[in-house]
Amino acid sequence: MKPDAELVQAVLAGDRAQFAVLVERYQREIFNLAYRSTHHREDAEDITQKTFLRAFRGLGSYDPARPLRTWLYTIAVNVCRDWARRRGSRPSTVELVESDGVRVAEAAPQPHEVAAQKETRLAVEAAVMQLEPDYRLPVILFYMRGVPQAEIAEIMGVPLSIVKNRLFRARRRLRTMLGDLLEEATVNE
Amino acid sequence: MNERRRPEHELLDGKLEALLRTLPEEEPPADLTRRIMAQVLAAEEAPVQQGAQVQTRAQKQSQQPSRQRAPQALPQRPQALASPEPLTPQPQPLALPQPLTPRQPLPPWQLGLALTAAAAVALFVVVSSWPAPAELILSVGATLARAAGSALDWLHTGVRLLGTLLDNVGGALAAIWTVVRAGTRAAAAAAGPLILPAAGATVLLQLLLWAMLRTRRDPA
Repeated sequence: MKPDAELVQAVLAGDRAQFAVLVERYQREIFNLAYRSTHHREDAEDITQKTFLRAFRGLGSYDPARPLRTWLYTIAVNVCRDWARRRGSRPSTVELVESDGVRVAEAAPQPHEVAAQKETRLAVEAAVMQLEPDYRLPVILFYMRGVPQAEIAEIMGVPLSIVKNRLFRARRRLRTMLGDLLEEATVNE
Repeated sequence: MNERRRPEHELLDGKLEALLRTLPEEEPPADLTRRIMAQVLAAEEAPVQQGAQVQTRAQKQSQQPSRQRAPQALPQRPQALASPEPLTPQPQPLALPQPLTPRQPLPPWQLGLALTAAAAVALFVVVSSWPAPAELILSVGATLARAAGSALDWLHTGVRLLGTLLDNVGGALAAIWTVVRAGTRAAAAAAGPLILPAAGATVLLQLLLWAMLRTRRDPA
């Protein structure tokens, strides 16, 4: 597998096909960030496309010393913010549909367990969607994408302390929104 | 056991984090790479297309609204076409000379005619409804004068109140000062004979202290 920097150099040298390799490599991460941020598949596709288009146009300004993933996430976060701004005060129409990627437990669960799991997942997704973008994006990046906090700070262009603070506040708000659900889950354990 | 000792919110945080981390991943559409690459290639070709488009626009500028003239070269999903604000980037009609249409001022004769007509209408209204306009003006003037008089009255009352307040405060301060001065004088008169012995005792004590310190510093 060629390293990112090498692929970027090839694209800049005129080999456009190498950009497809980069797209293949990172589209899943960007798409999932966009999907968790918008909860609309179509919007997530648009954001992913726009992210890679912007990346292609700005590839000349990419610093190879920086990880490409961080750079792409930075662009994607900006596109997500644009999306949220355009969406503005329109009423939230969160598309809480059954996911294709629902995890299947290794031991076949009972039907009521499956229903409860789906309900929990939908509630968590809805609660995350209730957060403002500045709080939602760090939550998605940290908990769902596994991006370290320092990298999130770089992606969002804010100090690390701000990221920690936003995560703390987001957790507190999510706890408030999901209070009963979390307590039930804790009791069941 | 340890878990039970942890604060409740930490337990809830742990559960919350676990829930967030177990949200399933979404699969991007299979043709997403192809669509992105089509856009990338279209974006590369966009400047050439725009150059060709400029001529078309120059020819049809007066006939077509600008939105209809936007090139639709990129592949788009049907949903994006239907949505009011498609996020799918499109080749933008960049660097096109937009015709400047500054607001033209009215010609002087039109302006004069409009002003004359307005003045004539106003004169007609005033004459036909006389003496109502004069009464109205007098009434408004009288109301304004009354309001101004009333405001001045309030101001006058306020200033007088402030003056009275300051007068009272000044009187109280003067009385306090008189009492303090009398008390001080009385105390000074009573303690006058004792001042000289007290000063002498103080000097004596100082000398005693100085001598003690000197002895301590130089025991030899």
